Amino acid sequence: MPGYLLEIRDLVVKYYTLTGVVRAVDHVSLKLKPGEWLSIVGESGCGKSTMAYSIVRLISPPGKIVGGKIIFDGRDLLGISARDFRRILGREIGVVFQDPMTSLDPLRRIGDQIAEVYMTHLGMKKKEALEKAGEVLERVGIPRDKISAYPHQMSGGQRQRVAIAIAVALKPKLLIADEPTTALDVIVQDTIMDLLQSFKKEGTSILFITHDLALAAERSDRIAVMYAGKLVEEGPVEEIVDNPQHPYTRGLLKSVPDLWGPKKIESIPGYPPDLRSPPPGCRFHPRCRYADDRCRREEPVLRCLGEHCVACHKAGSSGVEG
Amino acid sequence: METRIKPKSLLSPLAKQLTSRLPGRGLLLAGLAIVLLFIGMAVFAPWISPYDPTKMVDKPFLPPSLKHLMGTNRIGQDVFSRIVWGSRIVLYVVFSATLLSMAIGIPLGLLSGYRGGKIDRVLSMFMDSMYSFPALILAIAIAAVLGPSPMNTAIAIAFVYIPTYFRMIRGQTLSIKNQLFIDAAHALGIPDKRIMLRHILPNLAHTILVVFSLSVADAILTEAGLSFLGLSVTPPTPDWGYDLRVGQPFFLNGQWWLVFFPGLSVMLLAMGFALIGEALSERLSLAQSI
Repeated sequence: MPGYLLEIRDLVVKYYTLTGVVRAVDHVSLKLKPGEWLSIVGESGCGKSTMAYSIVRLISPPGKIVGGKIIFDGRDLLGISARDFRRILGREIGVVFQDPMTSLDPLRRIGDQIAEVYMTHLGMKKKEALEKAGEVLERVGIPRDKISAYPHQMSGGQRQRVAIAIAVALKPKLLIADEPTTALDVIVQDTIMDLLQSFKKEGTSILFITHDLALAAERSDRIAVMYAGKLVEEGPVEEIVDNPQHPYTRGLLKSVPDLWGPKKIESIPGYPPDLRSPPPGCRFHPRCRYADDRCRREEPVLRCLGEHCVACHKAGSSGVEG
Repeated sequence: METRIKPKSLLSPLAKQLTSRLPGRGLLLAGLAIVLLFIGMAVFAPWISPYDPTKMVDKPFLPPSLKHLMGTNRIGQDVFSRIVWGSRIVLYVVFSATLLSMAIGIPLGLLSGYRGGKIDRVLSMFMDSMYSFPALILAIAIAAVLGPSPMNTAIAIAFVYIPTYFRMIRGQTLSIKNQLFIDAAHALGIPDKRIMLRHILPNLAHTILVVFSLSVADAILTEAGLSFLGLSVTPPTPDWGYDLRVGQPFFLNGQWWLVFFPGLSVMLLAMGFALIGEALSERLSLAQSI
């Protein structure tokens, strides 16, 4: 059995809102090997970002982690003290956020923001930290002389590079990227993905959150698909793309246009459920054309065939194969 | 291999914003002119004032003339000299008071907004109950307990404006702490204290500047009120509010210059700061009022 860098077991996160309890992440388990790129795919509100934020303790009230374990590099992240945890954050886990327009402090020079990581974690002096900041800027493809620029003087793509520079400054073992390319145009998106991949080659594991299955399929080793707070399918990227088992995954794949083929784009009918009162049984059943009585009654568990896991009563049977 | 950050003050973009041609520039410059005039008066008082403000220098109740620009009062002191020296007292009291209330109100507001929870509830309740007192009444109560002296007046006024700073800073902190770059700072393992001081506080600079000038304007009136009631300085120290009170019975006798000039000074100085505050809040698009 290979060692895992990150292991999420039975994670449950709830939001206690005025209008009811939202089960944003409902018994999700995931594993990530060192040096692996795992993408979590799902539509807005499926709990993918909530799950990523749980790893770095960015869930704030009314949200609360109510169950499960997060094991990172042999340590239980939910159990250790805030002080010990801060030592892991930034040094062993880096985070890149969705919106580079707001994830940088508008009043501080980018050099100072990168240097802060070195000063906080390694106790470096400012001069030395700025020297290192210059190096890491060059590493992410930004000229060193931009070091005294303010965020508003840079483009969206450049800012995201700076945000990545901050996240990887201390060569973390795990890089969590929450839709890092969503706010950028397609060309810039591609260069940012190249950059992330280059860190993967240096041994950093990447947990990539996206709603774009096509984008995830290009770079990932493995893909996990979430729907309404549940993990519905997970496996190596070829398996997910070529042999999707869950009707939701298939729906996502069919909604991606194919530039070269005559493929017809299909959408998934309906809307994701209200997570304050999710439908009984399989949460996807109201939108699933294969749904039968059992799907409406009984919640499917995640079953695995080799590396490929799926939570669907119909998977592997003739019902879905057609 | 140039990695040096050019020494450039944090406020330089702010300074540019302040002097650029935008609506409200006239207000700002007018306010600055008035305030600088009084500050200049206070600084150069020994050179500007023609007479000793505490001595009898001529006959009492002389109307304004070239010899006594603003006339003389009932004990023959030169009113103009008293106005000039009085600006020192006002500015001293008002600036110490404001700095003191900033020194207490800003850290508490920052802490309360950032931490939330119990600390926030207790501090907010305390500040709100202080805020619910009419400003002058609260200042009178504190000043009466402390006794008359410029420093005590400053402390009394400071207490009045602590809740103003607290509430503004707390509110702004709440909105800034929910911004993504603060989450990002958390995700880098940066300690709370550093996040408060290095990431949130600088983003409050605009707010502090606006609240500062508006509360100074208000504090000038409070100071004048306190010394009018005899709670600030002891005679013969020159003080506008005190002179107002002493001159007031003679107004209907036709000796208008005894109240007109101190009153005008109080009004002008307060207006100067208020103009700056208004112009700044318009310019820095701070819609909230205090």
